[in-house]
Amino acid sequence: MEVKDVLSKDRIIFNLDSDTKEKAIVELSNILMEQGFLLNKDEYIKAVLQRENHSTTGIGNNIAIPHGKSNSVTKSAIVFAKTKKDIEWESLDEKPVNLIFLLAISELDQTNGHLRLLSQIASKLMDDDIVLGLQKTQTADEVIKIFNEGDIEL
Amino acid sequence: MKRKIIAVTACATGVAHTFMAASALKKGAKLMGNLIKVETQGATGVENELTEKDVNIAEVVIFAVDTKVRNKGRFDGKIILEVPVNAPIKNAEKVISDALRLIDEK
Repeated sequence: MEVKDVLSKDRIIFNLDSDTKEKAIVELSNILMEQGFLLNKDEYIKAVLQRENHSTTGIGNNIAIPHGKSNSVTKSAIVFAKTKKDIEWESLDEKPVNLIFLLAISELDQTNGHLRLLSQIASKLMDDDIVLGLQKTQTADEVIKIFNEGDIEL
Repeated sequence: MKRKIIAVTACATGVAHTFMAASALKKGAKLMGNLIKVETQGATGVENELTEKDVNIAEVVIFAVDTKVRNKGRFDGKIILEVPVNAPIKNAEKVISDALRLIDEK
């Protein structure tokens, strides 16, 4: 199981045009839908927004990791986007967001490696060097490389 | 002297915040020169489980949780600081200092 099994190049987006949290979530959910990860887009988006209402997923350092767990997700996956504009996300450090990781979590994935990979990628976002690398990069290949190489203990 | 801390992290979905909080606590403890062991109670189950020995030698326990701690009885009699799972993601060193203060000011 490798990073590309959950985060492939065709789900790494540069210059996302959305200017609000809600628009960004819808835009990135469209990509999941197009690629066959969702049975029902509206149901998934509802789960993501419910999670946002519970508490913000703006974890600081200009990063947000919105996520939804729903039986409308066929297979767990990530969409990563760098935004063109800063987006307000009520983050823990009150800074706006320009890196978004949207996680689609399948109810069916209880034991297989996908959930574990999602967790590993999320925990890597606590590493300042990894975040700096993500802020600088302009290519999808590099994003995947950063996650593969930035090996931190779990 | 290195302080000895144990922690449990858990969030509602059990996929992202549980593990980010664990990572943040380990990073914070390392920066402060303290020892920490963090048990994650996530969607894939309990990992890095705290043993009876871990509980015995720990000075203080941190629960960084947005959900119920599984098998909580293990920590009976210990001094526990409970914070939201977001707290260490925001500032892990502050959470650790707050926990240590609970013992030091006792």
